[in-house]
Amino acid sequence: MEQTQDITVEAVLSFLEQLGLDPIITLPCNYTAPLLNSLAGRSRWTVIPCSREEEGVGIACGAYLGGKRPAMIFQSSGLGNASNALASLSGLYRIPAVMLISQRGTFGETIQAQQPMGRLAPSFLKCLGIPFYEILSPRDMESVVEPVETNLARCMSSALLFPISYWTSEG
Amino acid sequence: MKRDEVIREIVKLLDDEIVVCNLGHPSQELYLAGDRHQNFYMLGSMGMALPIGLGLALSQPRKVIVLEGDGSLLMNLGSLSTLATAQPNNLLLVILDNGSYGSTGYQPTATSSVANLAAIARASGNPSVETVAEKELSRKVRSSLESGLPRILHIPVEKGHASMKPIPLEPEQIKHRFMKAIRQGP
Repeated sequence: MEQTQDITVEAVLSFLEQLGLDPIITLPCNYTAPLLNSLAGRSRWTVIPCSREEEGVGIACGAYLGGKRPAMIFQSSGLGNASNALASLSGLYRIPAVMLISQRGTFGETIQAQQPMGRLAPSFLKCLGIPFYEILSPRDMESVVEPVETNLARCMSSALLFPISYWTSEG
Repeated sequence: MKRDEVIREIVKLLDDEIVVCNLGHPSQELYLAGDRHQNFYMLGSMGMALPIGLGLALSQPRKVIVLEGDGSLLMNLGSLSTLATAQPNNLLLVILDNGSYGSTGYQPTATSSVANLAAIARASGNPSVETVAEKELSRKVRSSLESGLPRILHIPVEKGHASMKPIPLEPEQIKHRFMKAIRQGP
């Protein structure tokens, strides 16, 4: 696998690779842009951009039903948009969603409107009964491989929260 | 045409294709038309029939038929452009349009007055959209199953429903038997 210079991106790609996660359903964020660009540039993954996070949960559930192990990448603001599908589709049928969430409203945030859902994200996930893991540095990605695999085996969703500081962290 | 008659007509033409059906009366009518393990009956998450169908179409080779309603499709119009972008050739979207929210008491939707879902589907970038009358239904569905075209059928149907009985299946039952049935390939 070709390497970029960016260990924050490579750590995520390694995580996706180890768990066999594919397709990757995406919505953009400034902070995940280098990651999404890397994904688009590698034929290893099928990337499906969608129009709204709720729709993305639906597509991910369809892909899982079709035998794949999908993952989603979106912003914390999208958690609200995804909520009913997470509860009444993913949760109801026990179709697990693996969500990589760019947690906005964290230290370094410049857009005030990102604060509400960014701050609510952990409580929101707790309300939905979805285990979540805060990813502070690339080495944290290694330690969540097993928990996410275990959750998948139990048909449970997982959420990885990437605060803004992750993208400038080292090792 | 009555929606349950349309559903029956479609089911008659099926072999082992996947069907993803909108929640409420349509799923109940699909169940009554002849239960199949390849039917994914939605029970909640209104608006998700098309995204689920798209995820399925992009993940496995079997043909996917999505039965959607006007009320649910209006909740998620963005999925029409996502569909047009992805352009899978194994998905048929059937829009059963009765201009109302049937399962909650037939309150009107925008398609009963101002909105045209076939036009919205076309304007979203889908190239093969047809509004179909009763006498053309079988021919159009058969054509889609055999050749992949047309890709979207917009079918005006009458208000009314054939069933009020909940489907006697648990969500996980629906999931498990569905995944097992389609794992074998077409």
